[in-house]
Amino acid sequence: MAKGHEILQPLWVRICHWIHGISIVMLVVTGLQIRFPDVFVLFPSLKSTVHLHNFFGFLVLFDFLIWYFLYVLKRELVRQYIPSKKDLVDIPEYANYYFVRYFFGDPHPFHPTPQAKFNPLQKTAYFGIMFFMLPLQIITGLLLWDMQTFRPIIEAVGGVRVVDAVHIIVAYIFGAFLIVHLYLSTLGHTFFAHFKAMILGYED
Amino acid sequence: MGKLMKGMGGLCVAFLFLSLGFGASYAIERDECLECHGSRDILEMSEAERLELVIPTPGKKEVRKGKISLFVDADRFEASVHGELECVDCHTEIEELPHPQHMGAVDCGACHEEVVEQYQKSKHAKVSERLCYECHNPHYTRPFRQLSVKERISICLQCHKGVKHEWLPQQAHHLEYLECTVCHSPKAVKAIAFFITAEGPKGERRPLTFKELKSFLGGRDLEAVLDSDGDGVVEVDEVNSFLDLLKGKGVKRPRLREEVLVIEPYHNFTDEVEHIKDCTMCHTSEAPFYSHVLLRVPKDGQWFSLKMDRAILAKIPSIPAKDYYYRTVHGQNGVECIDCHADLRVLRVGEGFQVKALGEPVCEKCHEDIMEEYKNSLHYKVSKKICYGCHDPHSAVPFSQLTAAERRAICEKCHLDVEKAHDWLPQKEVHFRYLECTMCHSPQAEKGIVFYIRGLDKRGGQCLSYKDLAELMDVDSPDLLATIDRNGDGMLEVREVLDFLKLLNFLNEKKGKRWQRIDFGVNVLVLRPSHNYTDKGTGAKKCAVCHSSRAAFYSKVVLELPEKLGVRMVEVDKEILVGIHPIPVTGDFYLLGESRISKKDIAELFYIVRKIGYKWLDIIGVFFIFGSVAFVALHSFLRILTIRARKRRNGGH
Repeated sequence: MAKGHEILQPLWVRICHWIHGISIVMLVVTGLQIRFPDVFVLFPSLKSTVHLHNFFGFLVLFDFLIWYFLYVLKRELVRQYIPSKKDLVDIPEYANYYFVRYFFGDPHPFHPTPQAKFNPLQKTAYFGIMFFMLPLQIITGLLLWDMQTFRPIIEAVGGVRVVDAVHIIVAYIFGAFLIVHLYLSTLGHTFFAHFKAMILGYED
Repeated sequence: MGKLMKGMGGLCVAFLFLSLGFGASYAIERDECLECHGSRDILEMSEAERLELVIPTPGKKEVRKGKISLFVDADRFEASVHGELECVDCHTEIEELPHPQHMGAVDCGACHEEVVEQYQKSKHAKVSERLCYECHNPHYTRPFRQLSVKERISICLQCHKGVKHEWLPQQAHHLEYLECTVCHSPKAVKAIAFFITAEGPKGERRPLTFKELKSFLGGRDLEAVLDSDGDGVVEVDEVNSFLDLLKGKGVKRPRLREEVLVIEPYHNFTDEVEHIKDCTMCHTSEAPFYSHVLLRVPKDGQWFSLKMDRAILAKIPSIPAKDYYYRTVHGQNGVECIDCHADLRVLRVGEGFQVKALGEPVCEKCHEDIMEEYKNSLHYKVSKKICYGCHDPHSAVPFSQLTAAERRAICEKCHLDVEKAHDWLPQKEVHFRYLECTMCHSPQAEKGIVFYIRGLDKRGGQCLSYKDLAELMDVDSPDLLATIDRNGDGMLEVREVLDFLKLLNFLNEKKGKRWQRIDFGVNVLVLRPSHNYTDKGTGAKKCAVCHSSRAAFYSKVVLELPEKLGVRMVEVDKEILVGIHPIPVTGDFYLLGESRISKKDIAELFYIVRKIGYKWLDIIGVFFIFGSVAFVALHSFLRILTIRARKRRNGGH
């Protein structure tokens, strides 16, 4: 950690991020094979694929719990992730930046600090992902992992089809999010600036 | 009388003297004969008086003379075909005057050897023992080709008075227009001869006389005007321009009329020819008279023939032909000539329609419903037209086989200015090209969409016949319906139809690609006509009657399959019209308003949504993924596009 650089992403965040990232990629890949076992044959058998999927599922679960509790402990969760009223009002301005002004070479209207790492757009997106999508995916994943145990819950929400449908739709949303997330990471002041921040903790 | 006798006596004495004076070998000239025979006085003499003028030949039998008179009209004789002959050229027994009282029969065979030979072998000669001049008066007879039909008929009528021909359909018509020998001289050479007519004051058609024609030509030669290019043949264009010329001179509706004429008689007459009472001697497309086509024009009270281009035959309604007739809808249904023509008496000529039809229509005998419907229609009340005013019963092909253009032609026989009357119609040309009149003007007719198998080549599309398909499929008589309708439910589903088209295209490819592609052509047609036509019907000027997904014809979508005889209509799934298919089926057929969505479609859409059910998840998922990829792609593209501009602005950043 070089001096003079403001650390945006502490080490624990970075570790959580990359465990999460790798797991999500693996879940997407194995999930594809589970959904289309006859089309995407990436791993030798469906059985091993399911095991892999379960493994990374739990990895994400634990990673998410650790991440969540550490943020709670550090009292940063609300500040960093819950969009304020002002944030919501500012969304169009940031959307305008990404879709229009960016191409005219305007400077980014937001400068991340350790106290406020995300611009309103990011904040809203991550809020949705981490507080709705991911828990929903983890819960539906758990239900599908051991249907026998969770049968009463499954039946209460409308049956295994409904649980599966939610899991799949959210999985697609994660897939789409992954693509956009990776792309937007390149929109830092240099192509790899954000990647660097997520590895080293700071940007140049 | 006494005075006359004295004069005649004087003349004859003078002849006697002259003949004695110049000897027996002197050639007697026509004028000498006409001294006696050129005056009507000879008819008024008594037999005894006449006997005084000739050398009696007691015991010699008089030959039959028929109606030949002792008096010979010198002027008429001179105008006759024999006009240049001397009397003694035929009356060879006369070597001196006075001539013997009774002489043998004139030997026409001396000149007309062939004719006499024909005649002598004929039944007519054997039964009647008639001699040439008992039918033809040699003193006055004119060249055969110059004789009118009436004059020709009158030769036979001298003896065959009151010929009725009761059995003959269209009796009056046949007897008025045909000379006897057209039927009774099978070996005679016949021609179809046209002549120029005009409409008379009472609406009747009459031939134009030489005097009239001459007055329109202003001194020019008729033949030269008619055959303007001087190639010896009168072409259709030449006729048309001549008729236009007549029209320009105020002649009322000049037209050609045709008749069948004998141009080279054959003197073996009979009533027992093979074809007699069979009608097919004339009523066949191979009738012998079609080999000579003439235009007959009058000249100084006689008729002359000009050779005419055969193309004119296409311009006239064909003479009902039995062989062709059996291919028509009536023929195919076993209707014989006599079924319609048996009890007909009154002759009437349909307006603008040259098949000579009869008074009360017999069509009613079979087409009772249609007649009932038609008689109550505005069309009948106004026009008074009866069936064959529009339809030619001898060439009627089944309604289902008529193209839109052929159907329209029926109406356009009378409704000449239809195009102008439809100026209000948007896309007029398209409507006229594809639609028959009754699509709009017969609101009660049953309409439908008819597909047909179409081969496309450089010239465009053509309907494939049964023969074409049999050749393509390499089967003598393929059962097309069984080939297409594989599940045998009598209804053609889209998949079955598409598979059949694929098969045809595959076979076409394999067999050297006679067609570029085989697909379906499509027509909106009247399937069952209603004869209650109107210009004020619910359809008139209301586009939405057709241009709506609720238009009546969508309820009947059929494929026209050719068969060995005729065609067969098989119902096709309507989906074929609006469905988007992997191979083009109806790409160039689209009715404005057709693909507009309806309540039913929305209901169907929801049905499909429900049917797919949870499978939507993947569709939505793919949509998400593609959405995000599209966003990335678009953003990257604009990003690359604006690299330079951004760098400039940020001073090299």
